[in-house]
Amino acid sequence: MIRRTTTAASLAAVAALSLTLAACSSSASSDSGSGDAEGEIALGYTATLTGDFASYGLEMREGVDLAVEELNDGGGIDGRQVKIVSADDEGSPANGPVVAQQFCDDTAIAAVLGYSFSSVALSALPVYDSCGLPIVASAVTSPELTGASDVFFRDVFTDAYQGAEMGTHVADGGVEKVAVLYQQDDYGQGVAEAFSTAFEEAGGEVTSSQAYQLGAVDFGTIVNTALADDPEAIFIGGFYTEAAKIATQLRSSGSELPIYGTDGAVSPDLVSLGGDAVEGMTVYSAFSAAAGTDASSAFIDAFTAKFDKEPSSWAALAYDATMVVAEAITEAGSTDRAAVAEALASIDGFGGVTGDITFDDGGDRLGELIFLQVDGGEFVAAAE
Amino acid sequence: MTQVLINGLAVGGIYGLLAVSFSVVYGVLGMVNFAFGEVFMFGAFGALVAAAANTQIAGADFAGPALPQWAAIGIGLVVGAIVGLLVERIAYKPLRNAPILSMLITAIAVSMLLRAVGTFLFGASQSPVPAPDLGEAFEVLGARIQPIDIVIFSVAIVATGAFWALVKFTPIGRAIRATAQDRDAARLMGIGVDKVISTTFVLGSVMAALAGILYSQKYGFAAAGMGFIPGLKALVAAVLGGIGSIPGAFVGGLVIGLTEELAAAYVPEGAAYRDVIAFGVLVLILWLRPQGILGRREVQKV
Amino acid sequence: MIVKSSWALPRLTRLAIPAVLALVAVLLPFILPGDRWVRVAALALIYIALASGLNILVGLTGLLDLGFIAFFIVGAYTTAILTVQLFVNQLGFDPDTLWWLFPVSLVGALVLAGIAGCILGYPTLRARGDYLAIMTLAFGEIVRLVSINWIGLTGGSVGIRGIPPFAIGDLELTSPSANYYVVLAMVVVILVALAGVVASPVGRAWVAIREDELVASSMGIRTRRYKLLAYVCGASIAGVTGVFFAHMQQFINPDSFTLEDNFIVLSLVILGGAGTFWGPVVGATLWIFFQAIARDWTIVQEHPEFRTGFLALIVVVLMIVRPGGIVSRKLKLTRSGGDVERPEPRTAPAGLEPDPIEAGAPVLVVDTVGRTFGGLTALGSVSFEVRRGEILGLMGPNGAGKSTLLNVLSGVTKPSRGSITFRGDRIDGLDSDRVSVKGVARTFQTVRLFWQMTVLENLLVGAHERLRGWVPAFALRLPRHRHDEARALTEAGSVLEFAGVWDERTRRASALSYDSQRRVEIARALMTRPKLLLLDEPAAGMNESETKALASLITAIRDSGTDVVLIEHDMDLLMSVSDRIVVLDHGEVIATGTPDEVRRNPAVLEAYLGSDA
Repeated sequence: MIRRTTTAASLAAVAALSLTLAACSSSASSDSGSGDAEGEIALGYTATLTGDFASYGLEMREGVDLAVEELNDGGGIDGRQVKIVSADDEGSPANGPVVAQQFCDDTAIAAVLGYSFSSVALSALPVYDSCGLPIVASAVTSPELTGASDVFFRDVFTDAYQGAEMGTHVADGGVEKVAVLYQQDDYGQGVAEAFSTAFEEAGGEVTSSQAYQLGAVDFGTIVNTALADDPEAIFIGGFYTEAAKIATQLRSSGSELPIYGTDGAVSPDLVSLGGDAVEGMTVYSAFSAAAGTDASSAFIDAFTAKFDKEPSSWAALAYDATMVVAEAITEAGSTDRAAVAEALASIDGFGGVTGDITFDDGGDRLGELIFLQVDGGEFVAAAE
Repeated sequence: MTQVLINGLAVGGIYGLLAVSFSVVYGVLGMVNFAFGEVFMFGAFGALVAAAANTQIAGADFAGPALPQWAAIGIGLVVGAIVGLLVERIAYKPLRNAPILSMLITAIAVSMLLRAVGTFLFGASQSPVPAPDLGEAFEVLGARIQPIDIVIFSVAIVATGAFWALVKFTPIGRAIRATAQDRDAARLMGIGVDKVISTTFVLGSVMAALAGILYSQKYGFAAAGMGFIPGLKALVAAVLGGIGSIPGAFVGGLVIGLTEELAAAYVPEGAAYRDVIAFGVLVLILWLRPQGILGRREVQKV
Repeated sequence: MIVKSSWALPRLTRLAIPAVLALVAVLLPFILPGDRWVRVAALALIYIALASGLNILVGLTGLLDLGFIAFFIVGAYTTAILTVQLFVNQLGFDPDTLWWLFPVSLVGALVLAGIAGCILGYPTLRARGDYLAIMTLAFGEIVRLVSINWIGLTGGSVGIRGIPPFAIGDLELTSPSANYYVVLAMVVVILVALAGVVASPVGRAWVAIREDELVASSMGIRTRRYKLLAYVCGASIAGVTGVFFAHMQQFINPDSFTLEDNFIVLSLVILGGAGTFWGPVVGATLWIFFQAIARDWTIVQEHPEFRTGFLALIVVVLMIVRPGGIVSRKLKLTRSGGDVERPEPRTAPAGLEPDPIEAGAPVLVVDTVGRTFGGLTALGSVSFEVRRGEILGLMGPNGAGKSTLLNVLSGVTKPSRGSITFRGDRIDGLDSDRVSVKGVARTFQTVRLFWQMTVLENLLVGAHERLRGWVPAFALRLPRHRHDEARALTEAGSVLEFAGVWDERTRRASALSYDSQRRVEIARALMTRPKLLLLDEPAAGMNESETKALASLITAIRDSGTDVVLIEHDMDLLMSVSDRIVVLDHGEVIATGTPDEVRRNPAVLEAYLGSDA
């Protein structure tokens, strides 16, 4: 008797599973029709859209949406409308290949945008390599991705480049001794290493370099150690959650030293969590609404009209990435993945809202950073 | 050095409070209530929401009651107590006679569930908590002391002491101790065991919520996942102190706090390895002394 | 001939479920609506393997492990470091030519994860269950944090990429379906091996430990060793799975393994059914596909926490209403079916040498044995002997120290002083499993069977010492073990017939009548082939006719060559079957003699009247 009921139960489970999958198959078949008869061009968009670090992905999505709207209003790409197929990677590298496979399977997809985490992108690359689908990422900055694949491009600067620029910038500002704090992951390590190297090459001295875990809350002792060698400034290579706490604990320990941060700290939440402590902190970014150039003012207006807020740098970068892909598809004259990838590689000086875009051999962008400062709770262009 | 010790004592005080929660409930029910990390979180949010003028819950805007700080803290403690009581009544009570493994698994699941509820209500990102106005930091022996740290440490000591006295000297405390020693015998003696267990949960939850409120004030934020790591550390502390013992748990909390800070200050790469060090201490101690620092060896009963 | 056909049929039905599942698994890439889902299925397989490994600990052995993912990490990094860091980066090999290294990685991961399992499992020999749970959590975190922070070895948070895909020679198995089949092969091998181990003395020992650790050790099972073995086996499975995962992803970094994964894998085991064979398979499959499908739902996209929240809620509710999980099919702890025809009752254990000790000579000599608990003296200084061929009754008022004495004799409690010699060997100081192996078996005051096992499985646990062997041999299902097991089953049949409960052989122990439970417990003790059997109040709770029948069973046990020590409150039973009686009071022997002598002894009368008054 027991056997019979369990057999039935197992079979029922299997049947239930097949049913669910059948249900998926109907939705999936509509997926693979995303570029159907009307000749729509589909672009994949994936990022971490949920969880603690969803903000980068959600902001990028806004830039992508605005770009798609503008493209479609202007008649699409070569007369074909553009649509976005979105997938959440949940910040988990295990999902990287699954999402990549989803895009590869969908033959209408000509290119992929997005990516919040370098590790997710790295885990997805083997799959993209196998189907030749090009990616233009906007938020992944790990040097590991440089030259990692022929079909991988990004319009965000690498940590190595940005960290080095910051190092030179700080040294140029007359600071001679800096204490470095960085978050213990690929982002923090990469940016801190590049910063330290550049800063020391420019004649500065890194008095101490300490790592902390992402998610740490207590920096009392780290701050003490950093201050022990009398540095003239503090550099934080990490996200806004920890940067805000470090700044707060630094100020409450009585130090008034200038603080330098990275693009990971550029978020309104830096100010809401850090309050007065982050006032005057210097960070960098590829784009700033406050430091708007001529090229970007139209974008800022359009973005503000659509979303009722200023675009973040992630939105701007994703907007540019979408536009670059559109340009490449136009250049290639088709949505053939290989042709699009080739066209992307030969993009030269494309005028984006974040400046001119050119990809080097490693798929990285060449260009210039903008330095920002927190002033009255807002990010404004730093006084040179 | 003084500075490091002071930091360690403040952090340790918070761990100690939370460890006391784990410890008393363990004493009475013989189970590790993993969900205290989440009670800690709900306590912090309770106080935060009660003090706020406007607030977002589950994505919708609400006008907050904007209570004064002391009242908000009271609300936070009540919220913690209610969450603790509900958890006990709904999830643990039906399992009173189930194997210990089932209870532990339920406790873990309850902890996951409450974290999900917290994320739903308060969002995934960190909410800023305004720093209490306690005046300027001052210097003693070359160390800079934050008023909040003094508050945390004294509150922790007083609360733990009061709790200990309650368990030691009051009738309900006697009932708790009797239940902890032998539940069946206590029942035969006419003690309302269910009521005692619920009371213990409520008291433990108040301690956890208090720890959560202090933590959120010190570090300036509250978040759905905020109780997880402190919860683990406090568990480590409770085990170190010999789980079931109130002074032991508190001392365990201080030991963990100090160890962490000392390691962060004096071990190379210590800041990155601070969690490893706390957990490593636990593993080491249990290898050498399976009953904890202040715990007694239990006699196997056949 | 009849026997043969009735063997074949259950065999067929037994294989039906695995066959159907295997068929579905093989056809899945063709059924699934796209390669994305094939990748999801491959991921589900990884979780099936992990959950099955954890099930050894949580489900079978009853040990909680909250840091199980650590073993998975060890496995994944073993192959990544060996292949990429060592062979490609240091020795300059071309990654495309390294397919032969895969088996080496597998063995390496198996060994390293096994060692990690040993390290983690070692304290189980001492620490209490709940401390242990916290410790496993801490250990898991340590491994994870070290993988983040030991940058030189693990690449830190950047991780290790460029891990070569599965390949045979020049043939790269990179397509989603190829990946799926490779991982499927791994899962099938793991499950087949696991089924072999579960239906062996090892699996029975694990379940026995979960059910009742003390009884398990009184059956001759070295419980600590088997707990450690459970850790090693679970860890090895996770380690092997990690190797496959690393090559499937071609990239690993610490983000792939979060603390929460530990709880999720645990939840999957519970969801499917801890301690069942198919439970982890069902739990992991349902969860991974649910997760992948739910990703497309708006509600989940807005509130991703609903997914883990939902899983947690299910687990909480399940624990209250249906702790067994989805799959209710009980484990098969033996693959042989047992004989169908009623056997001859056992006379003496087959193949035993004639006893060198003559009837009437002492076999067990208890010399001035004492035991104190704290300041309390349970046994003062007890001396007596058990002689070959007799039933020795042990009586005394409540609190006289009878149970303590029995615990001391069976190795559950160590004596504080004095010596116990059994057939020339000192057995005081031995653990109860070693005492059992020496030939002293016991029953318990309240019946303690392995309630989730069938009667036959209970008896096979009694045969543990004769059947035990090397885990890989059971995993490979070597015919020698199958043969031994069949013989043990035959013996179990005749022991059951001897104890009068052969008809109950396929029933679950928990479903037996009280009288049958007692008899099965005695039968199980007899399966250890004891030379001396200690019976602790076997007649407690029995009615008059049952007690009478029990008396003849006890006499029959003596007559078949096993000496008996009988503790009993039922004076009629004790006086009627005992050859001699030892009377205990306040931890001292106050009288020894034949039933008649004892009955007339004034000290005995006083002890009973005095204590009862």
